[in-house]
Amino acid sequence: MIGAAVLRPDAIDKVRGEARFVDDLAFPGMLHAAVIRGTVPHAKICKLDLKSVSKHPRVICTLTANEIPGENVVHVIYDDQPALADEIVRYIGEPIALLAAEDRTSANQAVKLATINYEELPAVFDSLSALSPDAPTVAVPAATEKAPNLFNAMRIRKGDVAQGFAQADVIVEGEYHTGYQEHAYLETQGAIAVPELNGAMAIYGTMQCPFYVQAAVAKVLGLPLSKVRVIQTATGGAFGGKEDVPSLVACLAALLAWKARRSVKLVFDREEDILTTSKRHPSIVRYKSGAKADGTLTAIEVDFVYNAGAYQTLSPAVLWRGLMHAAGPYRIPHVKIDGRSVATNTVPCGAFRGFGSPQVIFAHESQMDRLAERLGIDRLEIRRRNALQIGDETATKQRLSESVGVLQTIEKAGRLAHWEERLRKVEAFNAASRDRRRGLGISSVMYGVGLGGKAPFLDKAGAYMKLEADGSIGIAVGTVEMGQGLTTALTQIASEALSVPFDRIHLAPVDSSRVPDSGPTVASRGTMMSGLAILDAAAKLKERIRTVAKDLHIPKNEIPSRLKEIAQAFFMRNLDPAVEGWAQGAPVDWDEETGLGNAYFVYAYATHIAQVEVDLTTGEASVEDFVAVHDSGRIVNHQLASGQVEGGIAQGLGFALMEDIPQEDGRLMTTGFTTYRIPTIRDIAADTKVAFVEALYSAGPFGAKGLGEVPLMASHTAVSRAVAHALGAAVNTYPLSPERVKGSVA
Amino acid sequence: MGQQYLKVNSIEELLVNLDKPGAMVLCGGTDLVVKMRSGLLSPELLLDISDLPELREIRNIGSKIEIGAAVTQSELLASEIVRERLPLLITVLSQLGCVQIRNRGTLGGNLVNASPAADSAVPLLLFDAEVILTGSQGERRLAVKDFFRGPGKTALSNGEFLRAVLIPLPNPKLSPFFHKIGRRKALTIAIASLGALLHVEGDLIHEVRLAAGSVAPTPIRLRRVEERANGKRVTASLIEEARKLARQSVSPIDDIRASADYRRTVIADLVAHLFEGVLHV
Ligand SMILES: Cc1cc2nc3c(=O)[nH]c(=O)nc-3n(C[C@H](O)[C@H](O)[C@H](O)COP(=O)(O)OP(=O)(O)OC[C@H]3O[C@@H](n4cnc5c(N)ncnc54)[C@H](O)[C@@H]3O)c2cc1C
Repeated sequence: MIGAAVLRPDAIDKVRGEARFVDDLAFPGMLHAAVIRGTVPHAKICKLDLKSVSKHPRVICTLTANEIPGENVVHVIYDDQPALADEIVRYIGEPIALLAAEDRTSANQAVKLATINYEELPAVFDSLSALSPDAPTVAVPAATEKAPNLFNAMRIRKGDVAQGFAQADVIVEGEYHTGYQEHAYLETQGAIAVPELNGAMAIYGTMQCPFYVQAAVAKVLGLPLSKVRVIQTATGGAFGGKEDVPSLVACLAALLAWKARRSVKLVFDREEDILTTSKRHPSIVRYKSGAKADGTLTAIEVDFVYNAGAYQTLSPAVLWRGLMHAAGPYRIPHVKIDGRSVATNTVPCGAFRGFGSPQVIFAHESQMDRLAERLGIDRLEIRRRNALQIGDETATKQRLSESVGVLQTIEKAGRLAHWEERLRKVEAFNAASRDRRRGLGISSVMYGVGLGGKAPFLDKAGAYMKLEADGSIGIAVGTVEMGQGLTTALTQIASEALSVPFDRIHLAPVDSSRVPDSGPTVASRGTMMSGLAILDAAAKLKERIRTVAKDLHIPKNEIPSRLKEIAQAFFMRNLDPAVEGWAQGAPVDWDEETGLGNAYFVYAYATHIAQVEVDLTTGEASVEDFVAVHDSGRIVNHQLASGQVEGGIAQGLGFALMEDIPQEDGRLMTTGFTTYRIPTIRDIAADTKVAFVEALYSAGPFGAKGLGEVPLMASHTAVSRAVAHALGAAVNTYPLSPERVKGSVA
Repeated sequence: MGQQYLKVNSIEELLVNLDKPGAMVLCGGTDLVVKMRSGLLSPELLLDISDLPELREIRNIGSKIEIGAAVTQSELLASEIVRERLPLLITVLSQLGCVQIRNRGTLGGNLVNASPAADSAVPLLLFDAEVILTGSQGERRLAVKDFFRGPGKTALSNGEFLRAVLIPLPNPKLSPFFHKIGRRKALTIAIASLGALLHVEGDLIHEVRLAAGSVAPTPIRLRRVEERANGKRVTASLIEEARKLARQSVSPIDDIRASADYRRTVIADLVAHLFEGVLHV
């Protein structure tokens, strides 16, 4: 069962269009919400007049900040973001007021009837300007007097970089820039709030983190947590975009439902979704690396800045992961890293697959290539020489004791790509071609699985499991299926653990009232953490089953085939057929002052190799060939895992080559998929090879680690380095549009 | 905000209604509905011509092919005669939008929408095609090059519609070339595009026709380059002159897809590249 390709339990419903996404659901008397949003980047709200809105015959109610029954915050990490802007708007698109109408068309029309008068304030849009002491203050509260907008500053200090650079034979320095990336999930954000008896509120919605939503809604309504129930609906993709934003969406719907005492649906259209919800943080990364003549890294010094937008949301966590991943999967004795996230008058950035790591990976892998070039060492070889191995220390001085497969990923990727032979072929092609150049790029990454030392309290998960009277198994967990295949993988784990056929097990939709807070479905932790909780529950249930079997004189080896008989006995004798499982991440620790510690309990690794061809006349780059090798420990389902990798390659390719949101004075300039381009099937290499090396993790379910985010993290830099190789020129800024590439053609 | 929809059954019915205030032709709707949704257009009367048999024919008349305005791009791609005699049109249409768009989008809609990036305009300009415009006063013909008047503007007058496009069959010795630059490989609006029909023997250019999209207020022919090159041998200096003339022939804008500068340079370089190709066969 473990490793097998089974039919996804959700496949048929989704293919037939029968899966119910949030916008497919309706409740009796349900109203439709619309959000009245700010249209300027930074201003005092002088007047908010909703009289005409209220007069619209189909509008049932409106709601403003001063009516909020609980606290006017969207709780994520720090409580700096209001559900509705009160006196000040801090980004274009910020919610200011709400309305609920009998139908969606009326709701959208009525939004235009609101009158808002502003007194505009000076605004700041890019992180470097926002760091200057005389920049207008965006952050609430102001961070420090000297840097009011410095949301977070974090660092790592290991060894002595001055000494490290003194030992280096070669030092390279670079500055790298990346812009916004939009999640572009198929299903936009949406939630339905349904008032329940006794003042309780139920939330149905598309999301990754039901327990975040529960906490946020309880806070804004002033309800005890026990009176907020969150039910995740079939979720059409998330990629991190449904980590924090659904808390805001649910709060807005819940406020209206509370006031109207009716069910309220709030679903964003694509434009609203792109313009007002989180994205990947734009970045500037300065990176200095030193190495000895044989390629051995001696020191790195990194300084990076992320544009966080107007509110913190997840920025501290995103920044921390960036910090933890800035060194890459390499042995480096002397490390100095500083990361900052900065408030600006732009849409708040948040979680996106890779979570602050892709930006620094672009830098660390580009630096490795430049060292290799300066030293005359092959690019694969320099990675091989520096790759972390068991017994080595990471940049945070964590000694790795098991499950370190990075070297194997490098070597296997090299073999599958025929690295050296291909390099020669590429050179031969380039020598013969007048107007086209090919290039090869390689990128190796490490990924800390789970939430790590900054938020260890989130790394837990529960599972509820019951033996039904017919011997089938019902399970509830607290992490979600969002398209990635979690339901399938968890069912496989349960099936293996219980020796019950796959199709006799059913996972219920996630409902926060069924299981304890199981943390968020992020950080590539779902399979591992909920898998462990299921294993724990399965062990308990098996114990009970064995006792009953013994009583029935059923020999152990006949238990699986006679489970129905045993289940009947549970039923007839009034025995408790339900158990709860629990999982906790292995201990982690991290020191804020030095940035050192056991940051994550285990790491996943990958190496990707891309071949591109660049049209020198036009600057168009196309990915011709791709090899991806991953170490995520035991692969629970090879087909799903390969699918994750292929999707991640596409998303990374988009990040490197085409995805881009220009911003002018705080206004995002792409409003839909005509101008925000994501890759199509034609843009993906026809020949993509995906393979795994399984360095097992003893504390993971059957040795599994995490996978979800890693493919994107590795792929974009394989592509951008391939373009750099093809051009023989520096490539320091994403995306590599035809125009930018042509500009680099010597 | 009353909006009416009428599926017209004959040209007469179309003409009668076309004179009404706020009336607009609806064909595949792939441009019009998008604009209505974003609030750019709010026609009061939609006249759906997509099923008018008179507009759905592809006819071979002697040395010309007449294509009805409501013929979809997918139908054109499947048409035997178009595949045989107008390979350039096939190349271009197979890069327009995606299958779903091509199943609805029409030649007429693409032309009347008059985007500077309208892909099918490039081959039609190269074919020296004509449009047939019909109004209550009767019919008139106009060269495609005179049909476009600016972004979104055409020579159609009130009460007139585009009935068909008339394409003189090009000399089969003219080989087609088309390069559309987009931000991805499919389903992309041209940042710039260059199309050509080229008849060379050795390094001698018997005839060349060049047209470009997305580099001027309308799709355009690059006549000055053509005049310089026709009948000449390809030399390094001809290539450089062609590059320069192409640069001078365009008047692109900066927009979210690319800068004017890139567009100018890339069209000039594509023209040069085309001629260089003659030397490197
Ligand atoms: C996702 C997407 C991708 C696209 N990709 C491309 C692309 O790659 N290249 C490209 O060039 N275009 C592209 N388009 C634009 C569009 O699909 C084409 O322009 C298409 O040919 C329009 O034809 P239609 O029949 O849908 O026109 P409609 O939308 O029905 O009409 C367009 C306009 O022409 C008028 N009109 C239509 N027919 C007539 C007629 N016979 N007489 C008078 N007026 C008429 C209408 O009133 C309207 O103003 C794309 C559109 C979408 C939505």
